[in-house]
Amino acid sequence: MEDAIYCAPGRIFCKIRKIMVGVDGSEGAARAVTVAFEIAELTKSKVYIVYIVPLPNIKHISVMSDVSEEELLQKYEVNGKKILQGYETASEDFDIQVETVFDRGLASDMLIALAEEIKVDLVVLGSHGGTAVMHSGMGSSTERVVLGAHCPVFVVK
Amino acid sequence: MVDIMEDPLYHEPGRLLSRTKNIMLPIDGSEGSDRAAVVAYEIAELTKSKLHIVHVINTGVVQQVARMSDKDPEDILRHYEENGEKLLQRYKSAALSYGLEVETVLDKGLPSDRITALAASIDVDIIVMGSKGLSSSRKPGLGSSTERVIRRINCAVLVVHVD
Repeated sequence: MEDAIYCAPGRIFCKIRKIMVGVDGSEGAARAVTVAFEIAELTKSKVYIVYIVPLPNIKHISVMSDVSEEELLQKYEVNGKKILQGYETASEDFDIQVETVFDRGLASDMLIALAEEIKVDLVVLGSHGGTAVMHSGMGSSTERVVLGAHCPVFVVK
Repeated sequence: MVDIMEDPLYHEPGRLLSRTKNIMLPIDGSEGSDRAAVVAYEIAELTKSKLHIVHVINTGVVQQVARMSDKDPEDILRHYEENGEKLLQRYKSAALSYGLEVETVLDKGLPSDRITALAASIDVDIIVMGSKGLSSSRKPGLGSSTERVIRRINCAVLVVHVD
């Protein structure tokens, strides 16, 4: 049976049922994941942990390193799945339900599209992912998601 | 490239949200700040944090208004200060009705600069902002103050969209 909670108009936390967090194994992602887990516990929401294999990066690395795209793709896929598993294990410290999502593409585009598709109520992201420049305020993927997402975005520093 | 292939950190030890003590709500009376306000009240309630409601008078705009209307900049500024104070009181009384601990700050300067500086001096944990303010373009994207604050600030930012 569902609790009947009165939710005043404009409030978001009382309405959150689905939270999405984008991860890449970076320290920023770990902080974002922690915040996502905490909010999920508070709001009894489900967390979608999303890893996107960065296809544009793979192309770039392949050109610059003479390693074939196939080989790199496989490395990224193995690593991505391992990372997702790690976060899933970490979620066991919290009283929450999680689902991992694995996809390929440009991270920001994929996150925006997935957020809409899954109909998430909140996106949590680290301000800097694994490839971001630390002296800029925000990594480019995070910036694009803040601009493009349909729902509130929580940027964790 | 940062070495994210090796030994990633899966979650930050300890909790972050429950350590939150100070929340900042920059307001300008726009729809964006109204929306952000409701969310800020909610987070302050959830995390039992103190809410700092901030209004920054854009002194550049005040000068421009004075120049274009042939009025004394001091008069215009006084007008902005009265309005700003009224605005702060409106948000404050809404926040008090939630039983929150509230402080208001009226400041002058470039809003994004002042918000960033105040956040650092108050040691704010989360800033809640609308994606657009009063003078933002209606085009999709972020308002310039919100964008500058996100780029420079050293704490978490929750952006609430205005559609």
